[in-house]
Amino acid sequence: MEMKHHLFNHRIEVNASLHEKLLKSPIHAQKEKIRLYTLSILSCVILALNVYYFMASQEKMTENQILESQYANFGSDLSI
Amino acid sequence: MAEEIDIIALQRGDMLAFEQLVHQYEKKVLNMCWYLLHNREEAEDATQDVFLSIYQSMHQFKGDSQLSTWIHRITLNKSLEYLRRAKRKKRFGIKVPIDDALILNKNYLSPNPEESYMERERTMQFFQAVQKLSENQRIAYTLHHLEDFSYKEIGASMNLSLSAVESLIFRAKQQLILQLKDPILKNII
Repeated sequence: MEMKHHLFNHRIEVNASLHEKLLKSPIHAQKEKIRLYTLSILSCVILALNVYYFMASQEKMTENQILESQYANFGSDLSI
Repeated sequence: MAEEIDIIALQRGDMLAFEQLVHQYEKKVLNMCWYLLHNREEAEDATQDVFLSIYQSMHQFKGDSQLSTWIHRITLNKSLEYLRRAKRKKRFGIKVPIDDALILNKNYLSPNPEESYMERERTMQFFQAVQKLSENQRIAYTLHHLEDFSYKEIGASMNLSLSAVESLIFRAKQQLILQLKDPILKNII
């Protein structure tokens, strides 16, 4: 068999701390999943709040526009 | 001989099967990352990401290829992510240094300090030249010469044909010969 030059024959060992971290990958995966779910829920809540406030402000704006328009006093000068 | 890993148990999320997978592949994955990234700290981070990805995407493994090929592909992709990140850092002036451990090869310890120094310089030169290769050339060359992958295995891991791998390695060698000045190094590659 061809002898490999030492330049290509160099390996490092996995130390105990890295080994422990690797074994904990499932726990990290679980944590990441929970973080992702929490973030998604938070984003949805923020989006819903934004839509709610936008619609509320639109409604108010329409109301204000009517009040400022020529129809604001519509019917006020009518007598029975 | 490596033990057979129960893929179905892994896909079920069985911790024992995952532990077995870690035992079997951790050294291979770490060294592959190390040779591609040239930095131990980065290689350790990449290795953690690789095993996290393996656990998260185990259910996607269809068995079309060998488990080892699939793991090598994930390792390559993660290493590439780190390489690109390192390139971005370099653009901002932050340089990821070549690991000292990579240069101080324990397999070659000379009692002669001058010879040791020369060897260190030579190794440094070699890895600097490898760093200058294009991404694909660097991967193909590293996997073949440093990780003992066959052309077929490299092709499977990089999604390339056999002839494309041959051509990549040939061009990598040509580039290295052009870059390296040391005649001993030129002979080795």
